[in-house]
Amino acid sequence: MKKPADGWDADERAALDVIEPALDELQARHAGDPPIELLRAAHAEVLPDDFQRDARQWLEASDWNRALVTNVEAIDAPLTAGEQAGLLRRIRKGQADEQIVGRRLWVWQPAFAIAAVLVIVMAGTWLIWQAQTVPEVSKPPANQVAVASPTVASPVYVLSLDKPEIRISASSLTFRGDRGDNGLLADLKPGFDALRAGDYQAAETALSPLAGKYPSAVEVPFYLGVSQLFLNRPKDALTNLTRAEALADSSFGPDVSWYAAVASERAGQPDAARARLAVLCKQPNVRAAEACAVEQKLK
Amino acid sequence: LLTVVRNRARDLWRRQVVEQRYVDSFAPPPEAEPLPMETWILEHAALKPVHRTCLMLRYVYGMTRSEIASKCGLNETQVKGHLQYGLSLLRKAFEGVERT
Repeated sequence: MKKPADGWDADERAALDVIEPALDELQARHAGDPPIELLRAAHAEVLPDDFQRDARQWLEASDWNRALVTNVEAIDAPLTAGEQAGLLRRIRKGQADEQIVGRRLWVWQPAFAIAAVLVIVMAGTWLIWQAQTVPEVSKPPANQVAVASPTVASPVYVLSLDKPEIRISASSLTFRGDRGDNGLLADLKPGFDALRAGDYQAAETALSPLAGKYPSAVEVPFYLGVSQLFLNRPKDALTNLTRAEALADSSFGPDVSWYAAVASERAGQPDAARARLAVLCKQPNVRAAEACAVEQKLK
Repeated sequence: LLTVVRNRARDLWRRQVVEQRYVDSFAPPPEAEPLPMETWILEHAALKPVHRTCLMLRYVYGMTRSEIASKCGLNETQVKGHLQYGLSLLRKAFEGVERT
């Protein structure tokens, strides 16, 4: 029987002596199960496409592993009756405090109302006075020619900006922190959720602190750069995407280069964008056709 | 320089082994009837998700209490309590059951 590194305590030893045969059988059946972090990542649908497909099939086929993931995720959801009662007490106390503050405000309300009426009367008087003192508009000379001022057109970009698919690199899946667990996946989740919801400001806020914590994870600078692109800050985006280019593996490389090209164009560096597209165009990858098509259009 | 190259190559090889192991871990599970203990852990009404998770991670996957605590966002004392509760029920249910 597989024994944990911290061993059994006395209670466990006594119980396990009795149920060991059945437990042995259960351990043998699940000896080859994937690690829990991987199952959770699969359940959150953040694995690379081909890997995600296998993982989804696995979870659908294995009631045990599916239950493990849903149970882990449900742990912090329900409240006990005692916790509920405590929460209710705190809410009621908060309401009572608010009522006291509300009563204090009521004393000041007539004063606020009088002040507001005075402000409105003064503003009205000032507006009427202004209307009476506006000088008559002089007529233009007969020979004056009207010249239309040039209109400022919003910039049109050759490279379109689409939301990328949310993925995890293989190196992040196998990441191990100081305690031997994969905290990276859990830390990435809020940023990914915000990206999926299209809340790029929240995504940037969630991902920014991770840059220092996980300096070798390509997902952090990549999705941070993409968020900044959507927030119309191409220079910041380019800084992060350039960092991501240095970290990207073959699965992330084409996407990172594409978005770095988009950021370069929007940051006023079309030559840099064209250079990135030329490299993308020459290599066999998912962005090659798209890169070849737009490379020549970029002036 | 040779040492750096050798260590980098070793790291790369180890990483590839781990990645391959992860990929292989999703090979289709063999179809089999659920074991009685498996069904009991998944369906027993007196167990909450936290009890099920602690039982699974410790007695099936062999994790330490501190590993379970970090995965579930609990402290070790809480984990120990949940394990005691779950294990006492498990023992009552399977006392004297022989290997099937």
